[in-house]
Amino acid sequence: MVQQVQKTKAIGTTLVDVKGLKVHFPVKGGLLGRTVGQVKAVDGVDLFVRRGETLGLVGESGCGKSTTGRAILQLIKPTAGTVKLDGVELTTASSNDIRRKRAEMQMVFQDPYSSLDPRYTIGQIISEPLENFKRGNAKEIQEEVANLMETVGLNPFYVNRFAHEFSGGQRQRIGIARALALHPSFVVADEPVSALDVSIQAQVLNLLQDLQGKFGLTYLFVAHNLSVVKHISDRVAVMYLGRVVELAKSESLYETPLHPYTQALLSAIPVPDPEVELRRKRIILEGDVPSPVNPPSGCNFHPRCWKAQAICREVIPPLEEKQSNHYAACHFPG
Amino acid sequence: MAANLLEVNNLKTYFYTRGGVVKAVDDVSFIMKPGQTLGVVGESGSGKSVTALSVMRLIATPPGKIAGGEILFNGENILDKSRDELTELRGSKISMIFQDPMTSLNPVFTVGYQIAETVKRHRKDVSNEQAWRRAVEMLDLVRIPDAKRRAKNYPHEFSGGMRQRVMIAIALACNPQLLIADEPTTALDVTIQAQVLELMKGLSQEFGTAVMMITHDLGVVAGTCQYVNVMYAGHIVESAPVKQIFQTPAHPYTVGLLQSIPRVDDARGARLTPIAGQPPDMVNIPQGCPYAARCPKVQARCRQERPELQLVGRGDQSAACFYPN
Amino acid sequence: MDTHDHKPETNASGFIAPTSNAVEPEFELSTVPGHENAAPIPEEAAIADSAPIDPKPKKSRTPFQESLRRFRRDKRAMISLIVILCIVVIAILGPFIYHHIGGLYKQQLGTHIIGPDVYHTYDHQELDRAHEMPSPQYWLGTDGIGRDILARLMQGMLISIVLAVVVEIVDISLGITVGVLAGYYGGWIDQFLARLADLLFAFPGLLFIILVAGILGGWADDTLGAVPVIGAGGNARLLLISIVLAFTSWPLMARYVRGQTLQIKEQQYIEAARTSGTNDLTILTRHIVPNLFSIVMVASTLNIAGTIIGEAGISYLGLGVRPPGASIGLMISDASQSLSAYPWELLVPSLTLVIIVLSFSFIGDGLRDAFDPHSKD
Ligand SMILES: Nc1ncnc2c1ncn2[C@@H]1O[C@H](COP(=O)(O)OP(=O)(O)O)[C@@H](O)[C@H]1O
Ligand SMILES: Nc1ncnc2c1ncn2[C@@H]1O[C@H](COP(=O)(O)OP(=O)(O)O)[C@@H](O)[C@H]1O
Ligand code: SF4
Ligand code: SF4
Ligand SMILES: [Mg+2]
Ligand SMILES: [Mg+2]
Repeated sequence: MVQQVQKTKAIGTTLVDVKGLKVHFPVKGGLLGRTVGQVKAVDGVDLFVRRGETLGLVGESGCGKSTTGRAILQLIKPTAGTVKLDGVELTTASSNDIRRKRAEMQMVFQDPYSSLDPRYTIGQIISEPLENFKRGNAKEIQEEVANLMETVGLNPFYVNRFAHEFSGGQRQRIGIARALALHPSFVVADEPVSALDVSIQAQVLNLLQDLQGKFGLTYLFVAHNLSVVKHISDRVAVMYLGRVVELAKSESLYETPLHPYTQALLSAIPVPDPEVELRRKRIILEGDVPSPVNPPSGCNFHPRCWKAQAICREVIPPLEEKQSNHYAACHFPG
Repeated sequence: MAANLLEVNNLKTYFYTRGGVVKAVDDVSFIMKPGQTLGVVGESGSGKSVTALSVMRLIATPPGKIAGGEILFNGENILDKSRDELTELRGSKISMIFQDPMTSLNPVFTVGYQIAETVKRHRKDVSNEQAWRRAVEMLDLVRIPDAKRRAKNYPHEFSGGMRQRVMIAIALACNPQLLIADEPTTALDVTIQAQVLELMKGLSQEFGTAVMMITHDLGVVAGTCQYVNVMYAGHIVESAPVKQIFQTPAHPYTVGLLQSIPRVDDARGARLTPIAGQPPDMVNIPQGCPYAARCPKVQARCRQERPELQLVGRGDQSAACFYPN
Repeated sequence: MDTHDHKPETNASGFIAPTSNAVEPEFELSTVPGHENAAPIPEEAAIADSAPIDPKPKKSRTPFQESLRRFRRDKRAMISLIVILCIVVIAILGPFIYHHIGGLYKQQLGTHIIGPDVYHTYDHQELDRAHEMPSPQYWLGTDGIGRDILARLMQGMLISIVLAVVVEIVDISLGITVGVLAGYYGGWIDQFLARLADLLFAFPGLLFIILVAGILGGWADDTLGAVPVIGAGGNARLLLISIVLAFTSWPLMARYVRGQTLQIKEQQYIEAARTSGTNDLTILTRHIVPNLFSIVMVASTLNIAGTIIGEAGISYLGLGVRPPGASIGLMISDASQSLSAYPWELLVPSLTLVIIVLSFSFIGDGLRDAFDPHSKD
């Protein structure tokens, strides 16, 4: 199935389709541990990912990016909404069906340390999915592990080493090899380079891009670093407080952001160029991100938005196509 | 030319661990002028924090030890000062803010109290009321809304960005001449980072405070600093005015860093040029140039001798490399 | 690659005997990030940051093995471990050797030599040789009714050890099962554990044991007396005490395990395993339980000390091992009746008890320092 090697990016039909996704975590309180509220971590996310593309998902920490990724992979049960992978509805599938589906959807984790079991060797880590899905006998699996290690730029020689002997960047490669073991079509990469040093980030980003070309992978690339997301993504979705506020092609999002939050976010990124920094105008947002336990009414960005009007406080702006292929959730975009 | 505010000469700070001697800062020299903003960049473990802590004389001994060199602050060697003199110096003339504001604030006192205490510790003539008024004034200055009321709040009642602003208020309460900021915005989100950086920039200009801005984010350096030291494996490998660092980087490591980071204003899809390999093990840094193992321009000589930091013939720019760009 | 060989228990064999790679230069995990930068393999360094680490094709040390190395460097703990091993050997093998080289005594009814099988029967006493000091025949002297103190001591130590083992088996198996389920699934089982633990903490353990031993003691004598080895002689109640002690100690173990499970559960490798299609049972047995190993080892070692004291206390009160059975607590109890005249008879069992308990505590402390270095101060 993976042998259909694609060298150039052929972006095709919708592979993942998410509609109205909500994940609410109960807030326990009081003596008896009763539910006293809800963390609305994801509160109505709409997005879709096309076959072979990279969709970047950005936003500040706590806005629900990871939860979205995990809910799409059914690692958390969504409170509401639908998730379709290749046309198959996942939210209503049985846990057995989902386990079978896992071969097609994988995840690369943020933390290169806690994502690898300290008691497993590299070989055991990478072969775990292969054994779960009975991909061959012991010898075949062993060969496949060596292949995978080479694919991600690790020397198969170290197959019996334990993860703690590797550097952060190498550990991230191990995690990538594990994610690729079953030849998935869809990979959620949750901040795969955030924990790495700048000089190592580039190595891993390049690897992810190479692998995409080689295996025709579809990525949902989660990150809080907008420069990284822009670099790797075909399209970008911006999240704020549990919702997608803007979704567009990378170029048009970064050149003509329509949502005020995106505009502020983009202007806040420091650019490594003193000349540019001197010339730029910054939009400095007032205040902090509100708590997802009590999000503001209507457009939840309104307390910090300089364009807010009365309607913003009351009506939730839907994510609409404001320009061709450029979606925004704002009453007064542009 | 004004006298130097800070002059660090051949500073060596070592840690004696079970695994061996970690030469966290090895033969580092630089100067800071009054009111100047100096950026210190480098990967984690390159010795940025240890440099800052050495200047504050806050190196935990053991395992750490300042093994050599001198640190002249206003012409006086900090390494010769007594404990009392250091206490007097810290917080009043030199102050520091850290990456994690929560651990630097005392959770059992109100933030107003903590600012007022700092003021009183260094100015014996100040009354309680004056100190409190100063605390509220400082909170106002760092744009904590409703400062008068918020001064009576405890640290946990503030968000991460606000706590960092409280730290800035404490740090600046006594009008220090030097503020050392060790990754002050690394734990914050971009929009909050923008708030805090803007604030620091404004205040340091207003008060004429010199700032040593430690960060691993070249973007932050570009936007806030006048002069930059690039550190690698315990050494300063390049030192130059900010424009030159970004426009005509001289050291291969600086070049590598700039090529390996994606930029928002880049065209998409351009391939990054990563730096091969990884930073050396600090316990046994190979002889010769510490960057030799990863350097694309490496020659035989680089593995034998250690290059000194020297001018590259473009004004104030110097690099520790035999074959600078 | 042998993928079936990831049970950490295989490493546990290295617990006592040094493993083969113990001769390597030691380094602290935290300060030296692997053996990076050793002799680079050129073509590799270019493609990746995989600076080759130490090109010997052997299995390398896990963090677990690192901890074992730290433990082995702890002198106090190692000496304690040796002491405990000696005590185990003496308790098990001692009696079989002792009656050939000393410890001979004449049975009142006959004259033939009698082996260790009578140390816990009434046959083992010579009333005319009470309160003797150590001699070549009775190495540690005799007690008030002419019983060989060393013979009884060995028997007592055996009982302490058997008890400790039985209690720990129950403690660990119940503790891990309930603790892991409570931590992993939460829900009613977690509630149940919390309430049970509260109850046991609120209710004095000793009182509970006294109650049970008092009420069920007679039944134990009748029924459990039939169990060979432990049940023989007056030791029938030993089994009862074991069960009771285990019952009072496992909730604590379960709480430790639960806490640790909650932490492990949050690690991304658990989620990674789920993403890889690993089912819950496998996650529990292959990812969670192995990572509990160190905390369980520490907790159970420290618990053993308490168990042994508990047994001594109960026997001292006359609710545990009954005469003629021998137990350290019972010996202390007997000797304390003639304390002023024959302090030696009290000193021997008391000192033994102190040594056993301290050794286990030191081992426990050593394990904790080695496996959880952050909790040191
Ligand atoms: N298991 C959980 N239980 C309760 N709250 C959670 C849980 N996971 C995440 N949250 C909350 O949901 C919000 C979104 O979290 P997350 O998706 O991790 O954000 P991001 O990845 O964008 O930083 C946060 O406020 C976080 O505290
Ligand atoms: N207390 C310490 N004990 C041992 N080594 C230390 C200690 N503090 C720092 N180091 C070492 O010194 C080096 C430089 O550290 P640091 O200055 O904190 O780096 P950074 O540039 O990330 O701030 C690192 O290799 C670190 O391991
Ligand atoms: S809907 Fe209103 S409040 Fe929300 S972003 Fe648009 S203008 Fe601002
Ligand atoms: S001295 Fe040599 S190895 Fe070091 S940076 Fe310069 S060229 Fe590279
Ligand atoms: Mg996240
Ligand atoms: Mg630091």
